[in-house]
Amino acid sequence: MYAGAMADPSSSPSRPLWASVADGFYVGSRDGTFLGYVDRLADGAWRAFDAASRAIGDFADHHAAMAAVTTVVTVDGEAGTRGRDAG
Amino acid sequence: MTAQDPLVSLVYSSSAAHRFDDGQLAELLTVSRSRNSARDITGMLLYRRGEFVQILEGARSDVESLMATISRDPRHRDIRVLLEEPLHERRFAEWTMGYQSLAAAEPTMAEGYRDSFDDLRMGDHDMIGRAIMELTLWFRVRESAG
Repeated sequence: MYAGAMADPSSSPSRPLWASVADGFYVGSRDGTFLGYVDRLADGAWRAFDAASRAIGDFADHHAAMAAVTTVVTVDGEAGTRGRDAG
Repeated sequence: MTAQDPLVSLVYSSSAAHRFDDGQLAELLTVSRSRNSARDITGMLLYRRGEFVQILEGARSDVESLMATISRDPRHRDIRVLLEEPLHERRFAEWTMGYQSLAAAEPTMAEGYRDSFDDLRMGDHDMIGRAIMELTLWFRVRESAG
């Protein structure tokens, strides 16, 4: 039996849902709560924004930008986990 | 707005009777904005691959009157009212009819994700609510970028 089988699914956070809104623009939510969005810049990099529409970093691809949005932690209104900048 | 004629938001989708070029869309918007300004109606129009989605905000009697006019417009086919709900305050107060042409993501970039435009046109009530939020956000970001 794998460890996950023992977990109470009701206590597990739902997976984030990402929607493709337009070319180069995705919006994330979880259980109906807005998480943030990622937007492709003119130079091809992807900028991640938190739920308050604050930029949290630029990334080389949209997967990394999405990961930054879904892992950002808000503490006292400040972004606690900053995305790493794309090299 | 009064208790008998409250502020509402109505969302509908339609198919263009023929593909609109930029000039025809501009003409449609000019007429729409003039008409909406006279009725104090605000909202947003999206167009993608021959499909329209429009959000109308205003007094219920004005919005429903406009919807009846649109239903008789031969430029629209397959008109479906997706949602009509009371509003506490306008979401598009600045726009008599904001417009953005919506380019879909390349298939490889869209695979595995929800499609907001399709969810708005064909989703259930919850999907429509989420898709409105997503499209409204995108619209505001693009508008603010000028």
